[in-house]
Amino acid sequence: MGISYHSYIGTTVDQLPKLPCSSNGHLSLSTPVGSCVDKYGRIWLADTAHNRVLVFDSEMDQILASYGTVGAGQEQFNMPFRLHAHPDKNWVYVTDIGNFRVHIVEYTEQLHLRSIKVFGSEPEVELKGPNGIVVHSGKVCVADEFYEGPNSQSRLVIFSEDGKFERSIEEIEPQGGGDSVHLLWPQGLSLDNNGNIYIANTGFATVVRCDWQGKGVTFKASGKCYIDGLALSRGVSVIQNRMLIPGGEPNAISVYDLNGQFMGRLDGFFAPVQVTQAIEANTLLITEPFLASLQKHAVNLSTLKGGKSRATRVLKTIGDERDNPGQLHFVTSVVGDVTRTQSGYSSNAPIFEHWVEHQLAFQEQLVKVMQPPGLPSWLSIALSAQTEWVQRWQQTMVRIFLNDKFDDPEDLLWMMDSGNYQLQATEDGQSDSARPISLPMLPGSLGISSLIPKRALPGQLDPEVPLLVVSNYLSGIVTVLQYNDTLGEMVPYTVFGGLGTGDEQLNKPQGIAIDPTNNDILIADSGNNRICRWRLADTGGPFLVHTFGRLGSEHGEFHTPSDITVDAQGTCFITDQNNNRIEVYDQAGKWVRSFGQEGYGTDNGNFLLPTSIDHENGYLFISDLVNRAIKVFTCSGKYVESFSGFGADREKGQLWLPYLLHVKNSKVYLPDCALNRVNVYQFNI
Amino acid sequence: MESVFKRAQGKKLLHRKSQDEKRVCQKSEAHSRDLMQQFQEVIQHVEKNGKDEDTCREALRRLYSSHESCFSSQKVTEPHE
Repeated sequence: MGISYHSYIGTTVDQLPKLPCSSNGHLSLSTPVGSCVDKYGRIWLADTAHNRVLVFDSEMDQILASYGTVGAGQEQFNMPFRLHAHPDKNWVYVTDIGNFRVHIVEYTEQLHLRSIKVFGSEPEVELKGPNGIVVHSGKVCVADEFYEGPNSQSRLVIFSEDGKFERSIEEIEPQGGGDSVHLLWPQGLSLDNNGNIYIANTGFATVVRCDWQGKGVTFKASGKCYIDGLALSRGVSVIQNRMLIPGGEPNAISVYDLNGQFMGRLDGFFAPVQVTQAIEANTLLITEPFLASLQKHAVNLSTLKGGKSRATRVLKTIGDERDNPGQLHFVTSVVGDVTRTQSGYSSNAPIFEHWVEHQLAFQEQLVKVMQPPGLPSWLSIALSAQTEWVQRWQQTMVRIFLNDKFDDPEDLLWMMDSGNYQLQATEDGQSDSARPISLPMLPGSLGISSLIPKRALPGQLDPEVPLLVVSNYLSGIVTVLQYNDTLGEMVPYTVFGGLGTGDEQLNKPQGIAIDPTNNDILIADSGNNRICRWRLADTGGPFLVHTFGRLGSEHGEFHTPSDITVDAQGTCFITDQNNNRIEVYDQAGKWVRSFGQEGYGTDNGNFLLPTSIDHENGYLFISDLVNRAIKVFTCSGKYVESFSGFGADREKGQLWLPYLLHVKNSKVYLPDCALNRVNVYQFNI
Repeated sequence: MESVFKRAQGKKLLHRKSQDEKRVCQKSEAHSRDLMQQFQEVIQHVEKNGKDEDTCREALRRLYSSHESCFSSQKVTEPHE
């Protein structure tokens, strides 16, 4: 047995014209994370999955510089993550998380850039995941996200400002005594005016406050040195004497005062990660990695109080053009197979098609430019999404008008291009070969599986082409799509589910599998912590067979089941994500056994957030999210081998946020929703 | 001492149990029901017009506005959701 990286699908669009150039119409970002403002007011952005740092003018009108390429050399990055501008010197610190090190980039007023120091990979330090970074009084503090201490805790690492290692902080000691506070997967860091460090402690969903000696600094409101009860804690920023926690509540930035009192929330976001103070008063820079954008917002934080909600005013948004031909945006799932070595596709009218694409792109830009600055954040995000969604419709119409179809729709690899609200497909699996093949999909479309009925169903237009079953995370709706040969598009055949906790409803459905013994549809109903088994009757109508599981950590219980696969005997294997184990059930929904336990490791049977699962020839293939590994097991749960790699180097098959994998004909197709591509691995059994 | 992983798992589970008491947002549930209805209309259009290209195009044109209203009714990021 051997598993190795083969190729990837998804066009990379990272070319820029001669700089400086306008940021409008030239910029396709790939999951940007960190930002900072330098001494001249210029805005720096980590274009993380493109392995570069971009510099803009303070208005974000112009791209002034692009720094770095992929690699491990002096001026290279593998996932530049967070940025921090030195308060006095012309230095910007860049955490280079995939290379386990930190850069100091020196800049001039004319924007000559050079890396003057790279640190953190020395043997006495060996950073395992440098993420957040802050600088104060000649010292640097780095959050080492994937470091494993004696109790598996992560750590903070203190350096001199020029990168000399001083010490690690592995435990936060509360001021008034009591149990030590541990860090798990700390990400963003920030500082208040007293130099206290604020830590987004992601693994515990808290924000911890301590000094530079690791002493916890108590919040008056809670009497503890951490903020609790957050939905997520990926970042934290102290701005205008307020603590801003992106994602502290769903689709919002939670705002606390520095006593730990909840003041309210800023609404109208998708999944914000980094908030940075811009040079203008009451103005914030906010990165939305999964929307591929950097945004400038106006809001007066001092008037937000009483736990209220408030929309910011959006002054400017750049990026988010991720719908170029062959490009993927937040690709979440895959089904089918690549059967050809060469594409049989040729457009009927390539010049006309190109012209139409150009016009639609121009139209999109125009609509964005026409959006007046100052729109409320929630309206801006809705309008942007709707503009893109309407454009998908227009593109569908053009394809139908041009009779633009795949030659063999029964032999395709299908990809859920969730961020572009469409399904894409490829015949040959070449990196730039993805093409749209569906009516626009609703926002939140996520999992996908294929189903071939034993007999053609009533109303099924082309029984040669598999039905595709699609889960929608936001609406809880499962759609069964069929191929319409007249249109050359996938169109809805039937729907079921819908958001809720009732027996026939779903809440945040993710992975889908088809039981090969009877064509039942099994859905990982992650928000309801259960598995749902549905069936299409001979009439084509869907009905619920049964559900099993409930919230918990005992056998028969789940905590966020994210994916499922069913073997030839009807046995179900489920990734029980937050319980860090694989649960095995029989066809009747009865628990059989479990395997796996929590822990680091790229070549063992440990898991940290196992996310997806599929099988072939008696082997299970499991994507282990935090360990960034595809682990192979026998169906009895014995670890066999793995492929692993953390980073954004497309030539090495590295992973950042791998989602729902698919195994077919000795190939593993693994979509990475942050790298915006589908990695293809091959194995021999 | 219990490992950090176990404690983090336990903490997340407690948080989730407290959240589960709040159940699903009723407004979002209602939007989902509306979407299901819109889908049924889409499916009927496709069934009726599956084999005829002209009527298919016409149905799609009608669906355009129908789907657009589906989208705008979703309001996934409106305040207070």
